[in-house]
Amino acid sequence: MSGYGGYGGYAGGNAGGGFQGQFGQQQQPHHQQQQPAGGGFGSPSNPFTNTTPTGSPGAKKASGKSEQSLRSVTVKQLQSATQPVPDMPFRLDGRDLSQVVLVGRINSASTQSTNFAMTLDDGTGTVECKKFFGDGGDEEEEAARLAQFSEGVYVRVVGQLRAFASRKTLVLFSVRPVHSANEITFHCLEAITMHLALTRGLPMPAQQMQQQMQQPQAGAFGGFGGAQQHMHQQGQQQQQMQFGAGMFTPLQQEIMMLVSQQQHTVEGMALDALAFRLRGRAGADEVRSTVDYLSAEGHLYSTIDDAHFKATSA
Amino acid sequence: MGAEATPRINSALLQKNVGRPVRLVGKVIGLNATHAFIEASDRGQVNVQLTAGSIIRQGVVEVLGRVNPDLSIAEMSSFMFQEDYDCDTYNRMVTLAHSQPELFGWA
Repeated sequence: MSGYGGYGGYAGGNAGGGFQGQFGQQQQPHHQQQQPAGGGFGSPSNPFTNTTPTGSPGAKKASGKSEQSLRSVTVKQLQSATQPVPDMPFRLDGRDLSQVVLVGRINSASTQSTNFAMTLDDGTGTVECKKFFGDGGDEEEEAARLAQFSEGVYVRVVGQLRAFASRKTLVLFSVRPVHSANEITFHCLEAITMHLALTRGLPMPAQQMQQQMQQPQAGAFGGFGGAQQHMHQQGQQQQQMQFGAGMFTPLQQEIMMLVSQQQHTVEGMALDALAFRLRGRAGADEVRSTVDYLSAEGHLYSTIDDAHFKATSA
Repeated sequence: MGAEATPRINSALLQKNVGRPVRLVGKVIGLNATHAFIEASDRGQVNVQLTAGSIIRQGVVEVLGRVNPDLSIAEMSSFMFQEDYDCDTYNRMVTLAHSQPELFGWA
């Protein structure tokens, strides 16, 4: 749930800029001119980035494990989620749903003996939600706290979609009030971003870079899908994909890619050689400081001396 | 699960939603005993016919109501937000959300 903590920052206020960043990305999901993933995707702590880009062979592998993620969704998406195997997780956009976040207004609420029940409406439909008492903490205290969530109040909830007697119910872990309309904007944009990333793939700056280097006619790949397909055809580009999941800036990605090409050697990539390969795009100082950063973050490690590096995840 | 969808709209989308329930977020710029005047996220002014016991006051509000043929909104219920909001980003979100019927069903 580390990513959820990130929302706290948003509540703090300076979300305006973040919005712009995310929104700008959203606006042209098909175009190749995207800047390095900003906003929610950029943060390595975002649980969403734990999932591999959709459509890649790696995606199948990932879904085999019990996958923990926190997805921002609309009620309509929950309605369309399917449960292929009873008592197993619901699936949406080709992935298991574990935790979901929903922002909506309470249509009705009632306190029952074992739980606090409410119907949430986010404008796309309504969903039954239940917060069971007693998962840690005083039941009466919890019931009293939940009583503030009455009809008409806007809330952000985190929960898990379950089927009770074939009715979809969101079993909640957390309920908290929403005070700012910006939170609605943020939630809707996040839901759109996640949906598009899962159905069309994450924006991958590495891709454009590679195309610019190898294929001067980058415009040939009109859509994202086309570009992705192209990637699958070229083994070497696969390698790039793992460094392109929105975690790195273009320079960092390029460094990771170049370093991983020397992975088979004993000493790895020499810093001088790296600076030489990147001449014109980044100065030696910038390369050095970026390599230092990547080492500090654990993506690279030095080999025979401080001027040779290998990737930790090759 | 179910219930009618209530699209998030701005003043430009009123026309498309006559007779339907909608959600309008905006700033209250004027208020009298029977009507509220709200600046929608696209900065168009929308007249809201208040329901009995309306909680609308100065500030940022979400009105849930039905669009009248004269493009005013008959309020059903409202929620007052505590803070100001970024109306331009909200407005772009509304436009974008209408392009994602799979998620919102507001086509």
